[in-house]
Amino acid sequence: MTIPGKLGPVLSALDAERGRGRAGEALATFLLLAAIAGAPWFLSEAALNDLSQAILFGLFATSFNIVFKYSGLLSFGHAAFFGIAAYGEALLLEAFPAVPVPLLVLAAAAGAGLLGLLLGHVCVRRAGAYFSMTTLAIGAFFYTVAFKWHAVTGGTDGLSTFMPTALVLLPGWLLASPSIAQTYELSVVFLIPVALAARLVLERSSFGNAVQMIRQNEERAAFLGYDTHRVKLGNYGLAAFVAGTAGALWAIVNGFVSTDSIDLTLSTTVIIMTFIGGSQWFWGPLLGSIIYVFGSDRLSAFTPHWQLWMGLVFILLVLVFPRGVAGLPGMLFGKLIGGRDG
Amino acid sequence: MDDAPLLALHSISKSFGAGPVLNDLSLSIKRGERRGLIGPNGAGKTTLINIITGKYRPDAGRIQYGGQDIALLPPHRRNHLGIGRSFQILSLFGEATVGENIRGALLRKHGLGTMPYRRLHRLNHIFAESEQVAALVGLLPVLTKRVDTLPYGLQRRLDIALVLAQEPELLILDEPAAGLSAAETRDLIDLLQTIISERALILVEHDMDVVYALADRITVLDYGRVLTEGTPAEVNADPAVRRIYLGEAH
Amino acid sequence: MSAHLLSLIAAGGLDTLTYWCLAFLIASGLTVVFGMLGFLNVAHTSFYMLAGYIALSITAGTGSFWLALLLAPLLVVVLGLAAERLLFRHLYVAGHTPQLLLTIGLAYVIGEATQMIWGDDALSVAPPTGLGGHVVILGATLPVYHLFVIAITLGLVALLAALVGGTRLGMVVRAAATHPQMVDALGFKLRRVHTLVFLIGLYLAAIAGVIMTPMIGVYPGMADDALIQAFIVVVAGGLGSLAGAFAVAGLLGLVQGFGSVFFADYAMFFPFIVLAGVLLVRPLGLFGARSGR
Repeated sequence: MTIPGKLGPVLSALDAERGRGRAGEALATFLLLAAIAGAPWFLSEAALNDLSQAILFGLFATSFNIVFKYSGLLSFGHAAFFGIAAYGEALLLEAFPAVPVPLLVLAAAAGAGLLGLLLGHVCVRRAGAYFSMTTLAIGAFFYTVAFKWHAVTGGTDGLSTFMPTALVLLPGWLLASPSIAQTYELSVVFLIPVALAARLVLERSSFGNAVQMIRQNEERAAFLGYDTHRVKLGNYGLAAFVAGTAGALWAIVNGFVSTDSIDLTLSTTVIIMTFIGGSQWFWGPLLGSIIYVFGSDRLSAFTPHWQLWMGLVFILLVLVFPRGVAGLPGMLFGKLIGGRDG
Repeated sequence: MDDAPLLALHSISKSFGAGPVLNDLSLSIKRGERRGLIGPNGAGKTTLINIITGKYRPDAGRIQYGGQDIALLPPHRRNHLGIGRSFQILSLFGEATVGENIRGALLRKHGLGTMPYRRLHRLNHIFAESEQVAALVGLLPVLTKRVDTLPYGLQRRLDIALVLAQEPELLILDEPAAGLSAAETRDLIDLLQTIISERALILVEHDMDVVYALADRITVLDYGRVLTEGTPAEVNADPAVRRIYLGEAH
Repeated sequence: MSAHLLSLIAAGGLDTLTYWCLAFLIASGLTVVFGMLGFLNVAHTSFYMLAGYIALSITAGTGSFWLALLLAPLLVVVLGLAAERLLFRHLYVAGHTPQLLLTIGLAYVIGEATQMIWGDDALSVAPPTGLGGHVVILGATLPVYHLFVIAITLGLVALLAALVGGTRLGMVVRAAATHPQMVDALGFKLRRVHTLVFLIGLYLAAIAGVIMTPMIGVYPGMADDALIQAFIVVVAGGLGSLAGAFAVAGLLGLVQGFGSVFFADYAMFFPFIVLAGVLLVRPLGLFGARSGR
């Protein structure tokens, strides 16, 4: 990209502050995503199973961070979008086994996104504690629905018989009895574009810029003419869509959906994952999820209560990084990682 | 110059529980007019500004801008109509650079503020314009500095720059000289005299040098009402005004 | 009035009062801590749960429910103090979000520790001898234990009201709620007052935890379930408003007590309906702060 005339130094200087090591960032992103995409070739099946879980929860945690890092709002009931999309996908697969799965995933995700816009209209009006509590109540409400509506959701027993014998990827292209590697790659095919697109919007577009301006100083943004409610709502809807994508894929990868896809524990777990990886970077939550899932696997060999240790690590991280910024990598590698916020 | 008022307030009242902050206040500004707004602390100046710009709704009365009733419009819509406002207590985007701050204001002006698909670094003309605005207020040397690292005087300039960048029809400056030294204030007066040009201006200030230098007419507020209105000379000579400011009995 | 109707009212009324008491015991600490300290203690109901489990162990070990009622809440308060000293203290300057996050972590850890110590299964406790029977009021057969719950709540609330209203320390606490800077300027350690209020809130929730064990037992999810209820009471009542928590707890009690007669199947949804209803009329809760515009 050539930059005309004397704008060159202005442009690169303007972006220098935020884009420190832009090339480095791009390389790191590429390596991360390439490693994720190529995982089936160098991981054992057990490890791939774990990673399969980790990347979907990582995408979900990323969606939480979309609201937390960029809008500065802590969503306490985010599992609602994940769970509703998961249940939705299960029901869609059962009802429409012949429709290409990618379409069904997009449908479930879009449904979650729309719900996000509807609910967000109520939630994002308020800030801080009010927002967190309203989202908690909404999350709890949907959990209660999932719990009680046995006929549709199976209650605590969940849904387990919705997987078709063969997944339709495209008309004519079937995947009979898909292996772990195959469902994994299916997730990756969605994860990478969705995550990259979200990142592009939030970091490089004027919409993302507006979201961040509003986080820093909502009043001034409004007086400069920004419709702050609409912008916050749009961000929330985006987050809901991304969470929905993760949830829909989860139904396929896991083959089973129950109330633990929508409960408060899940909403809490993604907060912990986000902070373990660090909320400062877009890919922090994904990393945090990988650390959490693999850590739990390794730790569970030593103790059945690895979650206790994860919780303690989380507490330690909050004490060291009160704004959740740099996470475990930040704590371990300190200055190496750098970045704007300390 | 069109004689119909640009901004017209009729019988505005507002209270916040204890007592009325604004009491049956009427005011009108013509296009291109420069109005100073002065009065002792607590007279209701900032509340009036907040009502004009949409932060508060009046309990009673009407507000019209360009002939249109704007009482129900939220702040961002009033901004679209051409009302721009600076802040008495600095209100900036502290974590961003000076250039990014100005860019944010410009993007919105050009209607490009919330495009999810428009890549920021493709918008060269915005970058060029933000450079120009920065140069205009003397902030070019610190274009790439983070705002919360700047000294107060420069932050003040940025606060004003953000309003100016959007080229509003009605420019409202709320104590732009607050906290500035005498030298900085003189610089500010020079700056404002060059850039206000044809805009309408409402200037809230305690520093009378600034008011006399910039205002055609002055409105004096006291206890939420208009005490008097007139040219700077008239107001300066008015014994009632002297009384509320200097406590001189006459 | 028919006898049947009377007995229904009696049963519903007792249910209402019981629910009211328990909901208020749990939510009062949460809302007051938010009002005075500014942050949401998500771990609040974790302490409530912990009290229930500890009470279970004490009862099983010593055979005395009364000993459990005496000791378990005190133990929980000690743990709460430890948490305050070791953890919360460091984040007073960091702002509300870090404190909220810390409480999330604490809730998580307490939940896991509880499962580690007591296991995953739901456990139950029989009411203490003497309180296990039934009494007939207005034709309805009602559990004596519920009357006990109401009595102990009223007793505690009365005691607290007397302390806060009648003692010098109570006066300082009241002042600290509305004029913290003044209290600070007058030389009282505001930090200590806050800690005291925090611990009282925990104590009340712990009492609730103990007295609920013969009613619902103890189980791993009880902190989450109670948290949702408590949040609804706090939000609908108005964040920081004790009066609001009192009112909404009563409202929920009413809906639960009489609603479950007709709509037992949907009892789980009642709190949400109440919340939505209240927020529609008063977006900031019944006695929430008014926003000026």
